[in-house]
Order: sequence, then C-alpha cells, then structure tokens
Amino acid sequence: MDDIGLLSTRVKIIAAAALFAVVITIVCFLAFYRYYRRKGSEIADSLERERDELLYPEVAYFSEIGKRESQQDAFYISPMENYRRNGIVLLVTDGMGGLKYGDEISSEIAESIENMYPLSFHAAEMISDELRRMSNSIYEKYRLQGGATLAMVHISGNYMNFYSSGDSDIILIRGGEATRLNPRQNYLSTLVGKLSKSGRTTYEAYVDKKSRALIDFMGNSNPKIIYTTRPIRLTDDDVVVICSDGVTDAVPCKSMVQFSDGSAKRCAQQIKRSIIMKKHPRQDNYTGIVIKLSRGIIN
Amino acid sequence: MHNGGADNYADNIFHNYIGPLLTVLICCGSNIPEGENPSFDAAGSVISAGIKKAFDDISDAVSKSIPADSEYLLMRISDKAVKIERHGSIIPYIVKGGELRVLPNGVFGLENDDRIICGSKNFYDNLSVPAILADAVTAMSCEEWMDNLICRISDSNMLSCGNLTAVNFIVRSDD
Repeated sequence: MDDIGLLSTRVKIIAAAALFAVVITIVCFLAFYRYYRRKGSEIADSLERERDELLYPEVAYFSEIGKRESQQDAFYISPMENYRRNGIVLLVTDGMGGLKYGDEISSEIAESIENMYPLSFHAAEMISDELRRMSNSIYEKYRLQGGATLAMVHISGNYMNFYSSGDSDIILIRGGEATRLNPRQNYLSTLVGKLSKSGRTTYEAYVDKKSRALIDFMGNSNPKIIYTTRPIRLTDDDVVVICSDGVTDAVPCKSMVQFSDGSAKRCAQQIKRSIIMKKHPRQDNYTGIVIKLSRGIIN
Repeated sequence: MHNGGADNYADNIFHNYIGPLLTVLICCGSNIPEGENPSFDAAGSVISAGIKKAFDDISDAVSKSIPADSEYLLMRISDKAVKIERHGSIIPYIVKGGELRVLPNGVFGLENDDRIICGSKNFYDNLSVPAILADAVTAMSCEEWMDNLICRISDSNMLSCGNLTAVNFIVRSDD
C-alpha cells in the first residue's frame, strides 16, 4: 500500500507538472498569437499606407512637325499596366537638324529603348553604358552624318532616374518653380566654364554664334551620357516635362510654371497652344511629354 | 571663388587637410558695407595652424580672430562624420534619400558617395533646390558638379551678381 501511495504521489506531481506545462504553453501560445496578429495588422496597415502614399503618374504628350518638312523628333512611353513592377520609362529624342538621317536615328533610338524595356531602376550605370553602346553603333552606321539628342526619365515608386545626351530638356516643376534638371551638352557650357575659371563674367559666351552647337549627342563616338547616380525623390503634385528644344525655344523653361496647374493633359494642351500662338515662321519640330504625379490616384 | 563682376572678392575660403582630417572655413565678407574691407587672414592662419587641435578649440580661436559681424561656417570632415558650426547665411546641404537637406550644426554621420555643398547666400540666390540636387547626383566629380552649378548661375546673370563662394565635397571610401 505504501508503495502504491508513494507512486500515486509521484504520479500526482508529474501530472501537476504536466498540467502546469500545458497551461504555460497555452498562455504563451495565446500571447504570441495576439502579438503576431497585432503585428500582422500593423504590417498590413503600413502596406496599405504605403500604397496610399505611392505617387502615380498621369501622362500626356504632343508631337508636332512645326514648320519643318519632316518630323525628326521621336518619343516613347512605356505601358502603364506594369507601373507597380517596372515603373514607367518616357523619352524624347530629337534628330539633329541640318544633318541627314536625323529622323532615322531618333526613331531608331526610341525603338531600341522600347526593346530594352523593362529597365532595371537600380542599374542606372549599366543603362548609361547600354545607351553609350547604342550611340557607338549609330556612329558606326552613320559616321556623323546624323545624330540625335536624348532626354529620358524612369519613374518608379516615388523616385526618378534620368538620362540625357545633347540639349533636350527634362524639367521639374515644383512649388511654383520650374527647373531644368539635366545640364545641356552644348558649347555654351564649355565657354562659360572657361570664362568663369579665369574669373570673368560670361557675356561673351552668350553672344558667341557657336554657343548652341552640341558637344555631345547620340550618334557621337563614346558620348558622355548624363545619368543620375542615385534617384531623385518625387513629391505629390510634381510635374515633369520632357521635351525637345522646339518646345523650350518657344516656351522657356521658367514660363512653364503657369501651365502646371490642373491635369497633365491640360498642361500639355496649354504648352502646345502657347507654341502655336507664337507663330514662329521657322518653328522647329516640337515634342513634349508631361507627367503629373499625384498620390493614390490610378490613371 | 568668383568675384561675380564686383571690384573685389571679399569672401574667403581656408582649408587644411592632413588625412583623414579636413578642416574648412568659409568666410563671407561681401555683405559687410563697402570700405570696411574685412580681413580674414587671422582666421585663416588659425585653420592652417590648427589641424591637430580639437574642433572646439579651433572654433574658439576662429571666433576670436574673425572680424565682428562676419558670417562664417567652420566644418571638419573626418573618416565617418562631419562637424559643422554655422554663423550666418552660409548654408551646408547634403544629398540624402534622393533629397537635398540642410546639414544641422553639430556632428552628422557620413557614408560613401555622400555629396555636400556649402555656399554663400549670393551663390544660392540663382539656384533652386532641385537644380543643386540634380547636378549633385549627375556629377562624377566635384569639379563637374560645381561647373554645372556655375553654368546655371551664369544663365541667370552672366556671373554679374557679386561674389560667389561655395565649396563642395564627395565622400569617397578607400575600400
């Protein structure tokens, strides 16, 4: 009897310990369950918030021949369906006037970049190398009997990379101020550099007849491709305009601010109307893409 | 450093570098009335002599030797941080997270390829924040960045705007 009684006490202790362990396990499980459920809903909330905060681009464009005999501008806008995954790529390329094959080359550039899509947003240096290779093959084919400028942006999430060669413009309108983002690769910049380094003012550079000549472009051998080594953050209500110099010669960058209220379509219409109103007898081809960024609206 | 069409260049920049410490003093005298001709030589000699001194000691010595009412910015960049003391309108900016941000007084950590610019009010007057940012992120060198900024200022006023003073840096890791 004593043995059984002893055994029974041991069993009781083991049973109590087991019960205690089960209770602790259940309590821990419930605590973890509640914690992860809360954490999960926080993550879901933050994803929801992030989605709400993501900027979406609304895009409009125009491309007109002006008073020229042919259209030497070309452009490309990547499909919007894949915006979340691949972002959007937009470009304007302007065949160099006075040279043969300007139209062929600009179309070739737009098509080649279309074939490169989707582009990796985080490989700007690689893309610039690819653009340089593209320029070298144009050089091999046309031997400087033609060339084109390139202005291209890649918007993904709330950031933008840009690439440029020549003197087409990428303009950011933000807070009532328009800024040309990409430096123009023309002889003016070389003259200004020389004069400023010798401590002089730069009036001479602006009256030099050769100041607008391009020093680099697509179709040149090993051109310098300007590109963003790290992306620029975009904000709600930013407007980005990519355009050929046929646009900015008629509507200077600074005066584009007046058109930036309202939708991208309205902005593009107003810029185009303003160019037409100038009635320039030798109006160059003009092409512009307007991108308006807004929070949480899918266009 | 450019006189911007003015008769004199009244600002000044002094620096001293003994790896990995770079000490820079930017002085702005162009806002002091003409005829007073402030001299920053004494402050400049503090910088050239004080490379091994602590930042606070250099700061004390500079504040004692610089002409009264002068605007200046003292900065020391070491391996992994920049320390700044700003008096007046010389603004230091850094490119972070795709934006241009003002560097606060005090110590700020640095990373490889960080881009910093410090300039006088006159220098920034014809530059927008997106312009400074765009030129910072497209430049492969400090010289290219500064050349592009000068081109932008020139487009506004042909560099006839009074003294222009700025210093820019790109942080490069040894790795």
